[in-house]
Amino acid sequence: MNRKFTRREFGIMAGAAGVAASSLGAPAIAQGKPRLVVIGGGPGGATIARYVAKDSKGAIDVTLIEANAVHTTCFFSNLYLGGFRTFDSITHGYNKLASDYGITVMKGFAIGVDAAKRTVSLAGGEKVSYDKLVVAPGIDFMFDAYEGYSEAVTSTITHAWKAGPQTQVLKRQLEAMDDGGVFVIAPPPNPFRCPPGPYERISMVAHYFKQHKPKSKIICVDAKDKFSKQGLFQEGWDTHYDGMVEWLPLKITGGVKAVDVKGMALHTGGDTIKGDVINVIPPQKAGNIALAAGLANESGWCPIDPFTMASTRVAHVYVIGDSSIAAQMPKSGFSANSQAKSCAMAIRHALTGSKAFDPRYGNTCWSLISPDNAVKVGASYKATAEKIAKTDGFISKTGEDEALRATTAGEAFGWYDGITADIFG
Amino acid sequence: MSSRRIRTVTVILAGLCAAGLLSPPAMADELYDLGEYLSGDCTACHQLQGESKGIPSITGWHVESFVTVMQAYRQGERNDTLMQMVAKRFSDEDFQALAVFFSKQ
Ligand SMILES: Cc1cc2nc3c(=O)[nH]c(=O)nc-3n(C[C@H](O)[C@H](O)[C@H](O)COP(=O)(O)OP(=O)(O)OC[C@H]3O[C@@H](n4cnc5c(N)ncnc54)[C@H](O)[C@@H]3O)c2cc1C
Ligand code: HEC
Repeated sequence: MNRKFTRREFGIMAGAAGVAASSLGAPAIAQGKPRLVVIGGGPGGATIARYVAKDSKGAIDVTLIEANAVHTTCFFSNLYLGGFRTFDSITHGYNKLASDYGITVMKGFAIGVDAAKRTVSLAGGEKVSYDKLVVAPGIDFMFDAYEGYSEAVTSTITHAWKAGPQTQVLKRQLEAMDDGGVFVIAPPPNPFRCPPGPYERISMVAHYFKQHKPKSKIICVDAKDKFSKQGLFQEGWDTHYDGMVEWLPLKITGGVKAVDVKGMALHTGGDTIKGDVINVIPPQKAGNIALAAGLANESGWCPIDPFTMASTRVAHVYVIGDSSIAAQMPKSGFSANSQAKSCAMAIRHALTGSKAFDPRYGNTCWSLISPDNAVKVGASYKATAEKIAKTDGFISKTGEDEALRATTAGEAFGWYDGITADIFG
Repeated sequence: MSSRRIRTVTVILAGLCAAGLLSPPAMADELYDLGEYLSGDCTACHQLQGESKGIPSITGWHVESFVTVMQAYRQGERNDTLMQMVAKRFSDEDFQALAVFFSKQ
């Protein structure tokens, strides 16, 4: 069942610039081990690389292709904006995946997949062969969604929806803003990465303003009429940040139509909303490489087999994390990590005949309202023939006492340490 | 191997262990392997290194107390909506497997 490497492929690979000795160790090929290649070292990709390498105990050769040397997690990036989490503390390297699990970590940008030859091509011209491929690139943005909006605009009007330099720019802008200024945030339509994320961001910016710029205001121009954990957030804004946050649903404004960088304003159906700092979180789709590889359908996201996360469109390819259509599972780091583990088991079974267990899917998302007040929502899911379906769930309640909310915040901090250890080793 | 077959094996094994009759290494391995796979449902929160800040440590427990606590969550006798939801995903045999796996971390 395992595909043998031909001399020709080996030649191509070993000859590729910068890929030679370290990344394509001759021993693996000499032993004819099956090879898993993973595109993307986020919560989905890094978790699956680690679990396949760990649980196959060296029987599968694992290569992780990641564009950046380090990964800054989107989760807790709002806390960095809130001023109580450092950028370093949410940034993780890949050293342990290489040293402790024997994963070949290649820094490179994947630009194409040849499904017939089973190779991934990188921007530098290299080609990497696979027996099975996991595509976990997260999201990309629809930069043509609004008039006047483009990727170039994001140096002034940030998205900060892929954590990293964008998040740092937004933080600096908030710090530079005068007291009494206006922060405008425009969350995207569904489906998008982290449904409660924009509203946690509002809470964290409000926390920062309350401490440093109490006369400032936050205006949210939403593309929706309702949002995740709405009652909990609105209660939290009332009790913690009285009068600071104004949320405008779609039915009031008609949503963002145009972005004016020079005038620092958003144009909606009828109004012009000016801001001193503006954060537009644009509509989203699967990561570009997933689209280039033909993994997405007309929705812009990638359909999968609910039992294995295998692409329903391209053989030997799996899609996990935000890029996948995991039906009722939200696009979260927790979901990506959960999908990765079931998919790892399915891939090991396919490559080495290891035991196949039932897939298992779960999610829990905490959101911080203030540093010591958090709410959470969670659910269990199971694979059915049509989709990954929700079977059970819970959510925090309005009116909970401060002590419970503080315990919940403590859990969120514990979870961050736990999940990042589970992802990056 | 189908997961139904694994379940059957686990049930038998759990029964035998409970009766204190035997624990053949191969079957014990199988239980451990099941526990290791199921533990993926836990390690997003509970750390294998036993860290307990914010989320309690669940490594190195006695197998019986571990199973009892999980059953208490599943039956709603222990109050935590999150862990109650997690526990409802599993059978007693799964708890046994998880208990064995985490006891050895
Ligand atoms: C503000 C905010 C707060 C959030 N809070 C939470 C939270 O509290 N809890 C939670 O569970 N989730 C949260 N999320 C959601 C979570 O961050 C995402 O769902 C998660 O990151 C998805 O993981 P992924 O692996 O699919 O994609 P990503 O995290 O985007 O990882 C993809 C990786 O692939 C790399 N890559 C992409 N394309 C290529 C290519 N062509 N070649 C090579 N490498 C490539 C990228 O560099 C990146 O490292 C939050 C998100 C945001 C924006
Ligand atoms: C989403 C995060 C999360 C996941 C996933 C999770 N737990 Fe928990 N667990 C917690 C929290 C929070 C507590 C503390 C609950 C309480 O106060 O009763 C806890 C408590 C426990 C306890 C009791 C600890 C004690 O000291 O009393 C056990 C045992 C336990 N979990 C086992 C598990 C097992 C086994 C799994 C996987 C099948 C699991 N948990 C998955 C968050 C989680």
